[in-house]
Amino acid sequence: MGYVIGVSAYFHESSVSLFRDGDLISFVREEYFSRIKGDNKFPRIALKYLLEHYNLSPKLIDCVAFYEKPLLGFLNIALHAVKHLPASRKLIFNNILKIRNSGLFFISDLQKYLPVSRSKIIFCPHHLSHVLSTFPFFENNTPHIAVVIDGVGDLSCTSTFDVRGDEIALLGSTTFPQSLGLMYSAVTDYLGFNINDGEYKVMALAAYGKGQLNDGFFEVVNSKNEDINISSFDFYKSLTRSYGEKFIEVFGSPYNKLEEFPEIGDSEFRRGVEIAFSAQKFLENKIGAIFDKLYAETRQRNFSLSGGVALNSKLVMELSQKDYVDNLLVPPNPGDSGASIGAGAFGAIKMGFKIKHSKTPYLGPTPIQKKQKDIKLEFLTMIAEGDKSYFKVAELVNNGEIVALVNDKIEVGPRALGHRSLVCDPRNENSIKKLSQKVKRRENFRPLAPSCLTDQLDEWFRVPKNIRRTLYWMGCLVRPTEKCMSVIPAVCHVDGTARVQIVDQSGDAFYKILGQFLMLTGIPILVNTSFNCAGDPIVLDEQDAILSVLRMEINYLMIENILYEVKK
Amino acid sequence: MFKHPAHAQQESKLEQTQALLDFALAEICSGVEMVHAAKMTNNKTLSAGFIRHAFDEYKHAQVFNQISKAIAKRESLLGLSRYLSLNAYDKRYVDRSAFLFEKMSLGQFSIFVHISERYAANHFSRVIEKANILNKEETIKLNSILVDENRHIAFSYASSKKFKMTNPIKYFLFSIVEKINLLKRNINDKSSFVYNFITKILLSLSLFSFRIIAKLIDKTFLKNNNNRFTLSSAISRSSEMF
Repeated sequence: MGYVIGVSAYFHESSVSLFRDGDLISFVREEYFSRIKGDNKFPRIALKYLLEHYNLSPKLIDCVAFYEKPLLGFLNIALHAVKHLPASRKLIFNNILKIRNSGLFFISDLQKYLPVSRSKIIFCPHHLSHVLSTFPFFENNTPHIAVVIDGVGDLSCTSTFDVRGDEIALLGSTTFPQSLGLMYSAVTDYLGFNINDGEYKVMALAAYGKGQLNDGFFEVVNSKNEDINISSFDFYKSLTRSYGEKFIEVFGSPYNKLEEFPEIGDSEFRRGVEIAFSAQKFLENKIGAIFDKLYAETRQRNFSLSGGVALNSKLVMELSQKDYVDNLLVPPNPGDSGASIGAGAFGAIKMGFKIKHSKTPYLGPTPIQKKQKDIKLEFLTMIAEGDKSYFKVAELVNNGEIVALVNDKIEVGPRALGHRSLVCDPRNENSIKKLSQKVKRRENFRPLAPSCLTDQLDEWFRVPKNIRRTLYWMGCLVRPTEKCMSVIPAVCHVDGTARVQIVDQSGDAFYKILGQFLMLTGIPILVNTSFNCAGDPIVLDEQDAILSVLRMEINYLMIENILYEVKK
Repeated sequence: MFKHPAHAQQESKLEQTQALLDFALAEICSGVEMVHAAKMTNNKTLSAGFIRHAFDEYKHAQVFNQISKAIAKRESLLGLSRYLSLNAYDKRYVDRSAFLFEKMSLGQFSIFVHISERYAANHFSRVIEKANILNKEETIKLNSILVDENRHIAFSYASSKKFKMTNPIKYFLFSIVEKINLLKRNINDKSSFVYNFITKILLSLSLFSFRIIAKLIDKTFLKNNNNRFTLSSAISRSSEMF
């Protein structure tokens, strides 16, 4: 057996992946265990889980691959910051103060928890990690163009690769600070949301816009010769602010980070949505042009898209609509967190293994971790188990209840796909409102996503063939049909899109619940959102689940196919 | 709450509000520690108790968060640090290298919780007394947190007392150690201003030399690294950090 571990750490959510003979068998994020959202420290608990769960000793590990070249990235950012002294002094201070918690110390951190020899530790170029993170999720080995777009990794912000099996060659790249990802993050910051967390809120806001600020925005942000006009941004020199003074001059004061985003209808809401719309449009135009150029040069019709920007499902929809795109794959976790999968694949290829394909997006730990005395009955009363429990969940949802599901292995990506989900009836506006605003405390401009049985999909959503696989993990927006708009309008966003998940794993509890709901109501769709309290990571196990239902005041919880009612 | 926030001694409205935000983060981190303890212990009653304790801590965090947001809006306060649980490590509310329950025995943990909760409750009640930014409703909500905290103190006292009965010497030693640790943590917090000041002077000096070093680094080094590469060339250089 050849075991290879991939590690992503120190910047976004840390994670580890495990490959056995080229087969991706596990993926674990540190935040699952630490319960600190966005935990970016060295993933010591996740690593410990892998070692214990798979009985791995250092001798059994062929190699450990890190997801970037840490020295290259450090020097790159440092050189840019030094160029902009004294404005960048706080950024430099901060980077120096935090140097101990950076990738420069990866080897010593790793050897503290997994004493492997230095010769087994390797480093994968960051954007190559992203490219390879798509490999286990392709159905076949189709040659394609891989496009990687993120904030910054090593030196690059945007890279394109020609991929023919294990033959991968860089076609081109743009380097820091020319970053479309950081441009979008700067707008996120300006609108008062947290960077690396609030970008999806900007995308949701953009749907309300009409393009009234497009000309002004493009004038400020666009550059004739490069991707962005860097003088409009501060992210390369400031610790506290990503947007530049020019941004404030043109668009007015930034949004207060401590206040809730203005309500729909408020004039400040309108200003915000127009800025979000322009940023989204700018991103789509720029990346669309990259795709057009690649097609013109290579005539290649198959693409993959990865890097944090690939989490923008509206962008993915726009790209999939290009007539030359036969196939567009976005992996379930295209951001830095998922790059540990790419690093692991890099290590596996180095060790001579072929990466195995067509993997499920459920690769994390199960809800019951170790033999521990059962505390469920202290807080919960059992209602039903086995097949009866699926029917009962459908019945409760039909009666307007919200049910929390914690079944089997946790999802790879940031989106809950039925294993760690809260579900409710898509027809019931009261349930949806309660779920969105009271239980999850989401902003009211954000839509909720539907999950739909695959064989019923065409009746409810218009799904292009070239993006279908990505819908297994909600990677792309689609257009709802007229029937969908009239019967379940609540799952459709204001711009007539929906981020649907398709479900067809017949052994899966979520599939069975959807089937029961279809039999009961004629609707093969449930509203599905992640099971976590605001500001928390998605729940991992039964203890997290119990605590979360208590905090969110949810009455029903299913753990490993057994349905419980929460005691008052 | 296992560790009190550094801003708690401050006088201005901005600092007082920041202190409440920091209290929220401190409560979250205590909740995180409690959940972890609930997962690690094999005692069913204790595990359920830890879950209930965590529930209280998260509820308190929400109250602190809501109140500080309301004050910030009411008093038009700008410049408050954003509330992110990720700051827990930098503010030292949670240890990067281990959770409390990983490095302490149950007895030691209950003594730690008892001493920390008692200290934090005293400290917190002084903060409420001193605060001039709270309205009546907010003061009532914060006082209700104190009621919960006193309950936690009572539970942890009962648990540590059991330990005292079976291991009186260990109890004595652990209590001394935890009191010293508490003192050390607070000295660290109080000296953070001096620490930051000295660090800034040292960094300013090092920045000058760093600028010279940066100029000396051959920029072609970075350019060379951006030359076209393939998977094979990346594999051949995979042991290098650049």
